[in-house]
Amino acid sequence: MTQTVHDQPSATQPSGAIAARAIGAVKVYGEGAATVRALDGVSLQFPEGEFTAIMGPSGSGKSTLLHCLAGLDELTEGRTFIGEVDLTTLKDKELTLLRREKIGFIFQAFNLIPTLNANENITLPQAIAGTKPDSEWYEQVIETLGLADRLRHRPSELSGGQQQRVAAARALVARPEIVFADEPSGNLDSKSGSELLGFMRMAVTDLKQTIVMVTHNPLDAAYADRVVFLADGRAVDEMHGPTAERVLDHLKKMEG
Amino acid sequence: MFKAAFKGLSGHKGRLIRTALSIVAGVAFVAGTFILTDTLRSSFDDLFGILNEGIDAQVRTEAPFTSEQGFTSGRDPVTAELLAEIQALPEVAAAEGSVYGWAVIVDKDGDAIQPQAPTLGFSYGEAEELNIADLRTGRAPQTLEEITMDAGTATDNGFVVGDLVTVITETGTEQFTLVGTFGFDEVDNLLGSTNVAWVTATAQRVMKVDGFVEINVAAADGVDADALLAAIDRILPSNVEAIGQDALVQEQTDLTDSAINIFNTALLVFAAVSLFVGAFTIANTFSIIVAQRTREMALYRAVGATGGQVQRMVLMETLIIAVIASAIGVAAGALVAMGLKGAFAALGLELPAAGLVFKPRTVIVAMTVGIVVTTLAAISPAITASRVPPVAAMRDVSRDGEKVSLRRLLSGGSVVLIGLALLINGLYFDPPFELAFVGAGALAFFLGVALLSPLIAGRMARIIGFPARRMFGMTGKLARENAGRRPVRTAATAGALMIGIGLVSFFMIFNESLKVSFLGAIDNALSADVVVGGTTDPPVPISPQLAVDLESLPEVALATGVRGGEVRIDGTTRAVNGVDPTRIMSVTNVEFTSGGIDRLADQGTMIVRADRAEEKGWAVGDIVSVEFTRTGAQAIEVVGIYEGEEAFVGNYNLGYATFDANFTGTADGVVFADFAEGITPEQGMAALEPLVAAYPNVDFQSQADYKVSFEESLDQALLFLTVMLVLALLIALMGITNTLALSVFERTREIGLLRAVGMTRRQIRRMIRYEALIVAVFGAVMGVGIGLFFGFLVVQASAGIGIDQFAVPLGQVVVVFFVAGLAGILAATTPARKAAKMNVLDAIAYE
Repeated sequence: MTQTVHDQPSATQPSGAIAARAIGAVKVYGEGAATVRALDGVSLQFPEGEFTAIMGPSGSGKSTLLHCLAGLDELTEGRTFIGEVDLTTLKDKELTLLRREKIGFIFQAFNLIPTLNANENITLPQAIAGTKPDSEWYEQVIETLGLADRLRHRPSELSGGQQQRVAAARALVARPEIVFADEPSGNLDSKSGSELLGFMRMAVTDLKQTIVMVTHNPLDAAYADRVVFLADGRAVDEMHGPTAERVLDHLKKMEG
Repeated sequence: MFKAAFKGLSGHKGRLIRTALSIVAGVAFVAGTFILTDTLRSSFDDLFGILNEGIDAQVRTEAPFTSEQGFTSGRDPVTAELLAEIQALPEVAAAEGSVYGWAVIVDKDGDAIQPQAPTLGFSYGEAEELNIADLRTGRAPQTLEEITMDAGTATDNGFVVGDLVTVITETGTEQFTLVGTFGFDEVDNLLGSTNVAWVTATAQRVMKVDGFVEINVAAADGVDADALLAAIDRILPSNVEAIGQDALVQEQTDLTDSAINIFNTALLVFAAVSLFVGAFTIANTFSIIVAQRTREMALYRAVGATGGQVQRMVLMETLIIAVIASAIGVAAGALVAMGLKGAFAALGLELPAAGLVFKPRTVIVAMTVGIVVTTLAAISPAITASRVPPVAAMRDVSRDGEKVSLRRLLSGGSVVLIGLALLINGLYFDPPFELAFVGAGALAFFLGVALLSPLIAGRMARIIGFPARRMFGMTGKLARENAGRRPVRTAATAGALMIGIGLVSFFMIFNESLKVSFLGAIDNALSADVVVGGTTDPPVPISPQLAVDLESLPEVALATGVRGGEVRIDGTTRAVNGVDPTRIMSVTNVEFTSGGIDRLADQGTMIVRADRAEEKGWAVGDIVSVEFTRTGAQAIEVVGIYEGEEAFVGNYNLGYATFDANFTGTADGVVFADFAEGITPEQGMAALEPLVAAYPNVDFQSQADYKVSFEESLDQALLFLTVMLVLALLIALMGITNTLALSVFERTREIGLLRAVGMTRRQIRRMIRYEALIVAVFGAVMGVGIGLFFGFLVVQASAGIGIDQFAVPLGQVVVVFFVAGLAGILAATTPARKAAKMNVLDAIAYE
């Protein structure tokens, strides 16, 4: 039933290597009669340097897929890879180190540690590892995200948009192999939201970052190179070079 | 609202159990104290019942007061003639003269048996009606060389009938043949004492009693107590009295009661400390729970509950916990009492009564205390809860940035000042109920400091956490920030620990000051090379023969015994010494400001320490009235006034002549000796060996050893006090665990985020442990600070009793910090594990 939409070529050319993939991913919650198959055999690839949006109605499994891809949750069946590393073979500690070194996160909210200032939040994964970020790269990310004059502020002194940009900066400064974003603009007004998405787009275009984002907002999805549609735990569709209107249309079609 | 309160409770089990435990512990301590002391009282009542069984009246010489010291009655003996007259009375079935005093048994290894209990010897009664001893094996003594012993002591030391037993008495060391063992009613031994009994003539000889200490009388059939006493009274000489059994038992009970009351008070003080610390933990836990449930409270308000209803709901929750926990506490108190009783038995103090005495008063007091303390502790959180506006249900609760209110500043400041005023009044101005002033002052001071401590908590957490930040990187930094981010909570958590540590470090500082002062005093006051006895309390009686034997050694230049007794001066009981005026100046250092030692050899003279003389307005040549138990009020002339260390030269010294004329029995409390010219301490001590063997019941110590044993006895007291405070520390630790558990719960998302961006479980655990470490050290810093301050105040106020040096035991203080830190880390174990186990997804999930 998978049907690919080919009406427009991809905006960017992936370099060919695969940053992350899922093979036959199955996630089952609960037992007996209450069993829910959140993921029902999803196989997907996320090429390096591509910005992928995952969309689908509530309960379609998009957040679960993101969590399993990012090593935050365990699959019931199937496998997920970051680069060539099979996450399903890793122990908690190895997973933790993998997250620290190879993955960046942007969550919908509660992205920052309130006791640390913006700068400390941005460099948190390096501080946890006991290393220092690449200072040139750091400057570039801060510059790109326009955070230079906010670095000494604590989260409570930043606007919602600024907080999410700090979170984005944290995700990028580590130069992870892949960034996972879970409804990053979910708590923002539309102006701050589009600003953030603009920055994320820039990170992919200019900084060659790979991003996988879960969203339910067609406007956000339009910033991506590719949109993957999930329904009932399965990847049902894919759209390259999306626009907000086409995504919306497609969603309507799916629901109808 | 009751239903809501109950629901609220069941939602937070772990922390409630810890909160309840802190109440249980305090209440158990209170209940256990009462149960134990009631049990002791009833044991003594039973004991006196046994000891006075069959004695319908007792005849003895009159004494103006009863001395609480020593082994003798302090009364003159009654004569054999009087006994004969009483025996002749028709109202009397039997009358018997009794003699008793101290007697130390030497065990089969040649060591004196010296339990922490009396070592008694007495005359074995012949009259069936009056005999308190019940034969267990063998027979009663019949000849002068025979002896009997209590069955408990015999069994413990492997004595059997037929053995030769060595006994030390006032007349020296002698051997007797064991012909029987006895018990008292059901028990083989009385409270760990050792008991020997001879025929009356031997008892009279070794106790040096001419006549009898008492005459015990059994009434003839059909003669009631009053008739018996009346009949005896008619024939009594003027200075002899007869009392009935009830009065006799009452007199003995009064004596032990006062000791039990002191014990009771001491235990209750520690119970109070535990409860005080418990109240901190409770208050803290409830305020955090209320803060966490702000939304819930607001929802109640939003659906129409009044502020008062919310407040009552919180108080209701507290009350439910308080009642349940206090009830458990009372039950646990029985266990505490049983544990303590078991501990006493292990130490050789066999109590005659078997069961624990559980009075209704114990239950009422312990329950009330538990409920009141808990409810008081919950008042402030309840008020906070009632102030939650309904709109808070709608908005996200701001968790950080709590401000220290001006009200807190003012109330904290004034409580500190009130505490200080009470303390200073209690310590320096000798008001009535001095201890109550000091206690209330200390309590208020702790409370005030706890109220004020949030002012510095944030800064202190950062200062204390600074090394952690440097050493442990981001985990250290986060721990430091977390410890400092809720100053009110951090301060309250540390405050509970502060109290226990404050008291422990105060005791340490006081102990050290006492030690340094008294060791200095030993150097100042005591020039003797050898000290015999003198470190135990009450002191072992030393035969006066020992000083004579000592001096006869060629290596010893001089030896002299100091006797101790109690007199009354202006209605107050005072300790007096009996000294040898010709020798005492060689072994102690005193300086006469007027008069001198020379006339002390005269009958009816006394020398007085300058401070006391000044207080009484006495001068040399004054005739003052001194009351003795044996001889009543005597006119004594002050012949010298001296300055010296009170602890070693005493306030009132009589010459032997005056002392022996007014006291019964002549045991030395301590004997001092100087070695002959050219004898080194090692040579001298070696020369004493034969005497060490001959007098196994006393310690022969060089001056250096004497100082060491003095220090050891002080350290033992400190250890005891510290152990008693361990409970308070444990309760404080439960408080730390509680606070951390709640903080971890509050920071679920933060911890989830940290895990998501790559913090390992181990790092999370470490972060929580460091936070606990910082809070604990903060509590220790405040505690030691207060300990120093209290120590300083008390030492300043104690110059009068010879504590004139303020000394801080640095090593011990360092140990306190280590223990506090370690305890903090230990307290963090459960919360840290919980934090590390937290599911990353749960933590970062949002609806």
